[in-house]
Amino acid sequence: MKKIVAMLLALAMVMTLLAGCNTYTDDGGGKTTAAAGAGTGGGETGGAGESQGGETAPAGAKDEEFTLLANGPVTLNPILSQSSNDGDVFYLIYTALVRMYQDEVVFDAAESVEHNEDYTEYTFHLRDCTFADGKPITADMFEYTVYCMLTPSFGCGNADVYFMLEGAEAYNNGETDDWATVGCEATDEKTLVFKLAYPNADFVTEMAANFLIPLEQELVESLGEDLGSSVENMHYSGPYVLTDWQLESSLTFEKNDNYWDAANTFPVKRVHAVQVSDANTKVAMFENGEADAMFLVPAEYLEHLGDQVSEAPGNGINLIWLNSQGANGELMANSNFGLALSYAIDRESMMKAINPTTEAAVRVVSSMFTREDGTTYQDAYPVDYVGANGDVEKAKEYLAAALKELGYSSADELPALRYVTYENAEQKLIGEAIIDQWKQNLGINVTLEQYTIGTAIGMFYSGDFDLFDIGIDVGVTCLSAMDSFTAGGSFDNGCWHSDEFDALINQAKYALDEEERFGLANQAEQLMLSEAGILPVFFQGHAYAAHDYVENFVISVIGSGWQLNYLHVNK
Amino acid sequence: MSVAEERMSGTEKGAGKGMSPVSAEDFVPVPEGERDTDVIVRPSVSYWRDALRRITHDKVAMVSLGFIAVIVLLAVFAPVFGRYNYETNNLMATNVKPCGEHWFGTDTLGRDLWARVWVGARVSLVVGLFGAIVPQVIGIVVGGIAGYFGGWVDMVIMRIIDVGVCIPELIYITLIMLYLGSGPLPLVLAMAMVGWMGSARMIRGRIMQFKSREFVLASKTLGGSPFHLIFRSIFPNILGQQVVSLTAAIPGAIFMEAYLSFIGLGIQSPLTSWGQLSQVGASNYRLHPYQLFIPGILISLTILALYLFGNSLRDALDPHLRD
Amino acid sequence: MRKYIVRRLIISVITVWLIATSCFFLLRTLPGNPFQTTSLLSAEMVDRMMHYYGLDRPLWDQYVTYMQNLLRGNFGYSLKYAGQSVNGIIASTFPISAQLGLQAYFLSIPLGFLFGIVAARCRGKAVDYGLVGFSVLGVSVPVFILAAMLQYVFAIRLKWLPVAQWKSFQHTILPTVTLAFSSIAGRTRSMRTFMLEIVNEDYIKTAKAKGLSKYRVVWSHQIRNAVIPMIPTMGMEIVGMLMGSFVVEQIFAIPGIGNQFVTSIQNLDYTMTLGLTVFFGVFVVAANFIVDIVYGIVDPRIRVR
Repeated sequence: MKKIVAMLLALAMVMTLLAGCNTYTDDGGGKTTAAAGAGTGGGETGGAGESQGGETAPAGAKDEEFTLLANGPVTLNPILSQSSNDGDVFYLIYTALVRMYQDEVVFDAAESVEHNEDYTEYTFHLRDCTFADGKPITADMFEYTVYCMLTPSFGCGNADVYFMLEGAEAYNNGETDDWATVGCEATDEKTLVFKLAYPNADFVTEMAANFLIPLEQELVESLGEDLGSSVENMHYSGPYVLTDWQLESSLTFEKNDNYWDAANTFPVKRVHAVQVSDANTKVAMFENGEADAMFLVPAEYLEHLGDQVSEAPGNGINLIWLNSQGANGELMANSNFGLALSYAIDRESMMKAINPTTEAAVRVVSSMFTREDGTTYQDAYPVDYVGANGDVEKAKEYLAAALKELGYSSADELPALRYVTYENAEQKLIGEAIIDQWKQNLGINVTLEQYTIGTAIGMFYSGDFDLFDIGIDVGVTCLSAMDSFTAGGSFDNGCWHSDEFDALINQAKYALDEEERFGLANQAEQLMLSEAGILPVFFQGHAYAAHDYVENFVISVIGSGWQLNYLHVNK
Repeated sequence: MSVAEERMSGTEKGAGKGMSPVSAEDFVPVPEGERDTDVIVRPSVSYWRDALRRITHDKVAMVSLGFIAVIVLLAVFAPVFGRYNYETNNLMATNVKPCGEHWFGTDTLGRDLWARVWVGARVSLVVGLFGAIVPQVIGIVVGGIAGYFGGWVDMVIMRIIDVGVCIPELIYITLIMLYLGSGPLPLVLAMAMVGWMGSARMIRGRIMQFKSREFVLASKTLGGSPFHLIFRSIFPNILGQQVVSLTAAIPGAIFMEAYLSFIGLGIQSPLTSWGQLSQVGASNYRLHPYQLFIPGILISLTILALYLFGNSLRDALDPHLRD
Repeated sequence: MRKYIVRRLIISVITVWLIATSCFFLLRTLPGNPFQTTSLLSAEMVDRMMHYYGLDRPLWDQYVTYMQNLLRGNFGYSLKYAGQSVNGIIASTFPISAQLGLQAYFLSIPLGFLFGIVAARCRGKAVDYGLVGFSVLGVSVPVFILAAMLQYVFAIRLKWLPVAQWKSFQHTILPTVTLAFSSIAGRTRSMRTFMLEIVNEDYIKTAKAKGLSKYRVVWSHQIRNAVIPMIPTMGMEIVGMLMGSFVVEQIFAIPGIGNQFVTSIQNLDYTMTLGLTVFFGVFVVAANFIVDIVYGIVDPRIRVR
C-alpha cells in the first residue's frame, strides 16, 4: 500500500519537474515552440524566437511580422464566396479593378475610369500589372470573372451584386444565354467597359466594394470545384501570397514583391491571421502579446482594454420583422401595434448596457452616408419617428389605438407572440431586453425563441415567427438596405410589402440628381417606419484594438478587407 | 480486514474480531437460562428497512441530504419571496457587485442574480434529476430485456443502439427542440433520447454477468417469472452500481443543459439555469468574477452533496457490501 | 471463435450502413437550408444553389448517389465551405483532435487507475477523502469553467504556457489537461467503486484464505477483476476523445474536428455532418467490434449464447 502512495508522490514530482522545464517564457521552451511552429514562424525569424515562443519578430525588426486576430474565411473560391470574411482575405491576395481604403476608392489594376454623362457607361483603363508569377493581367480576365459570377452553371450565390449591369439579371435568370447581351466587355487588353441597367453615380464605389478580381479561364476550367480550395489552387495577384491556410483557424501571408505597388504599400513582410472564437481567449492572446492586433473586440472587454481600442461605425443594422402573414398576422400587420412596439423600446440604454460600440437605430439609413457637400444624409433628411430613448406614453397611445382597431379590450387579451432569432449571446440579450421592455411598458407577453443559424433563417423565409430579429448589411449606398426590402429583394420574405415603397425606391434608383434621389429615399424611409412592418433596433459598430507599436491599423465600413495598406509594426 | 470494511459493517459488530488471538478466557459456558439465544426473537428486517436504517445512521449522508434540502427549499421559495423578479431588467443598475440590495449582484441587463440563481436552481435540479433518472429507467428496462432474453431480442435492441449512438446527439436534440419547444420537459426528453442507449448497454452487460450466477439459476429452477428474475433476483445486485451512475448522471445532465445553452439549444429565456448562468459568467469571468463563481460554486457543492449521498446510498443498498 | 468473429464483422458492416442511411434521412427533416447561414439569400438564389448542389433532386436519387460515392470512400464536398471536400477537412482536422484525445487518454488511464486503487485501498482515510474530493471536483466543474481557470492561472497570470492555438507541445498542455481532467476523475471513481464492490467476493476471500500476500491479492485478483467491467466503456471513451471536444477546441482555438461536428449541424451542412457521422460511425463500430472480441476472450459467458 505504502508503495503505491510513494509512487504517486514520485509521479507528481516528475510532473512538476516537467512542468518546470516547459515554462513558456523559458529559453529552452521558447526554442521548442519556434522549431515546432516552423510552419508559421518559418525561415529567418524562426530561430530567433526568444520572446514569446518565436511568434513575434525579434526586437528592432520593423515590419517583419504582424499577427492579427480576426474572423477567417469560409471559402476562398471567389465565385462561390458569399461571406464578407472571404472578402477580407481576397483583399490581400488579389488585385482588383478598384479597391476601398478607409471608405475611399483607390485605383488598383485600373489606373483611371471615365463615365458618360448620364452615368450609364463606365470605361476602366488598366495599368501594366502582373500576377505573382509574372504573368500579365489583362482586361478579359476581369470580364471572365463577371461571366463566371453571372452564368448560372457556376453556382454563384452572389450574382445579384452585378444585376446593375445591363442585361445581367435576364442572363442570370436564364432568359438568354447570349453573353454579349450583358453590359460587360473587354474591348482590348487594357480596356474594360461596363454598361449599366440604370444610371448609377456610385458605380465605382460599388465596384470597389464588390472587389472585382481577375480570373483566368484556363485555371478556372482546369480546377473546377477545387478552385481556391487550398493555397496551391489560387493564382495570386494581390499584395500578398497565401502560404498556409488552416480552415477555421489560421492563415499566413507572405508579401508579393511582384505586386505593382509593392514598393509603396503593404509594408509588412509576413502576416498571420488567427481565428479565435472565445472572447476571453481572444483578449488574453492580445494582452499576452501572442497577437499584435484584433478586430471585433468583445463588447464586454472594451473598457478593460482602454486606449488600445478604437471604434468605428459598422456596416450593419439590426431590424425586427413583424410577420403579417403568420398565425397572428392581423395583429402584426397593424401599424399602430408595430409603432407601439417600436416606441416602447429604450434603444439607447439597452445598447449601452449590451454593446457600447453600437448606435441606437431610429431610422434605416445609417449615419455613414454623406451628401456631396459633406453633410450626412441623416442630418439633411430627418424622419418623424421615436427618439433613441423611446417614448412609453406614445407607445401606450399607439397600443390603445391598435387594440381599439382590432377589437380587443385590453393588452391581456392579446395572443402570446413568438420572437425568433438565431443563437448568439448578444442577440439573446437584446431579445431579453426588448421583450422585458414590452412587458413592463405595454403589458404584452412575448416569448423568446433562439435557433441555430441555419434553422432560424429557414424560419425567417418560411414565415414561422411573429417577430424576427436579425442584422443585415446596409450596403454601399443609402438605398441598398431599403432596396432589399422591396418585392423580390434579398430580404423579402413576404412579411411586409408596400407598392408605394417599391415605387419610391425604384424611382430613387433612376434619379440622378442627389437632392431628388435622397428626397425619394427619405420618403420611402419614412413610409417604411410609419407602416412599422420592419422596426430598426441598432446600427452595428466595430471595435478593434492594436498594441502601441502598430501604426495605421484601420477598419473599413464599406466593403470588406484587412486594409493593411500602410500598416507598420514598429518594434 | 481493513478498517474501511469494519466501518461499513456498521452496528453489527465485526466478523473481523475473529482474527485476534484466542485464549482460554474467551470461552465461558453458556448459562442455563440462555441456551436458546440462537432462536430469532426479533422480526426479520426487510431489505428496504435495513437500507433505510443504514442511511439514517450515516452522518455524511445526512449532512449531504440536509444541504440538498436547503438548496431545494431556496429554489422553491427564494424566487417567491425575493424583492426582485428574475426577469425584470434594470438598465440603470447593470453588473452591480454583490451588495445589501442585490445579494448576488446583477447581470448585464441589471437583473437580480439572487432571484435568477434560485430560478436557475429549479431548472437545473429538475433537469438534472429527471434528465438522469428518465434515461436510466428506460435503459434499465430495455437493457434488462435485452440482457435477460438474449437471442434475437438482444440482437435487435443492440443493433438499434449501435446505430443510435453513432448519430450525433445534436441531431436528435435539434429535432426535439424544434417540435416541442425548449422548456425543461423537452430538454429532459431530449436527454432521455440520447442517454438511454448508454445505460441500456451497461445494464445489459451487468445482467449477462449475473444471469448465470447460482442464485439466479436457483430462482429460475424454482419457476420464477422473467419479471421476478430481473427485478427481484438480479436487480438488487446491480442497484448499487446504478445508484452510483445515477449520481454521476445528474451532473452530466446539468452540464448537458449548460452545453446545450452554449450552442443555442438550452433553456429558452427568460427562464435560466445554473449551467446557463455559469456559462454566461465564464464568458466574462475576468471582469465580473462573481457572475461565474456564485452559480459555479453552487453547482459544485450540490453535486458534491449528491455524490456523497449517492455513495452512502450505494453502501446501504448493495447486498455485496454487507455481510 | 471464428464463427463469432465473422458474425460480428457482418453485423458491423450492416451497422455502418444503417448509420449512414438513418443520418441521411434524419438530417433532411431539419427545416432550413445550408446556403443562408453566412448571408441571407433570396429564395430564388437559394433555389439556384440547391440546383447547383443537386439538392433539388428526389431524395432517394440523392441517397443512391451518396451511397455510391460513399462506397468509393468519397464523402463529397462541404456545402458551407465551398470547394472544400469533406475528406480534406477530415484529413486536416482529425489528426489534431486525435493527438489531443490520445494525449488526454494516455494521461488519464494510469492516473485514473492509480487514484482509484489508492482510494479503494485507503478507504476512509485522508488519502481516500482527498482523492474522492478530487474526483468530485473533476465531475462537478463544467469543462468551460475548468478550461477558463487553467488558462487564467497558467497562461494569463503565471505566463508559463501560451493562451491558445495549436502549434507546439506547450500549446497542447492546457487543452490536454482540461480534456483529461474529468476522465481521470471519472475513472478514479469507477475504479474505486469496482474495487470495493468485489472486495467481499468469494474468490478474494479464497485468495486471502490461501494465505496470499496482500499485494498478490490486490494485484492479481482485485485489480484485474475490477478492470473487466471498465473495458467496454474504455473503448467508447477513446472514440469519444478522438472525436474532439467542441468546448476545449473553442476555448483553446484548436482547429479540431469537434468544432466541425457541432458547427456543421448548426449550419445544416448535410454532406459534412453525414461524412463526419459515418467517419466516426466506422470508428465506434470498429471499437465495439474489438471490445466484443476482447470481451469474448476475457469472459467466455458472453461468447456462448
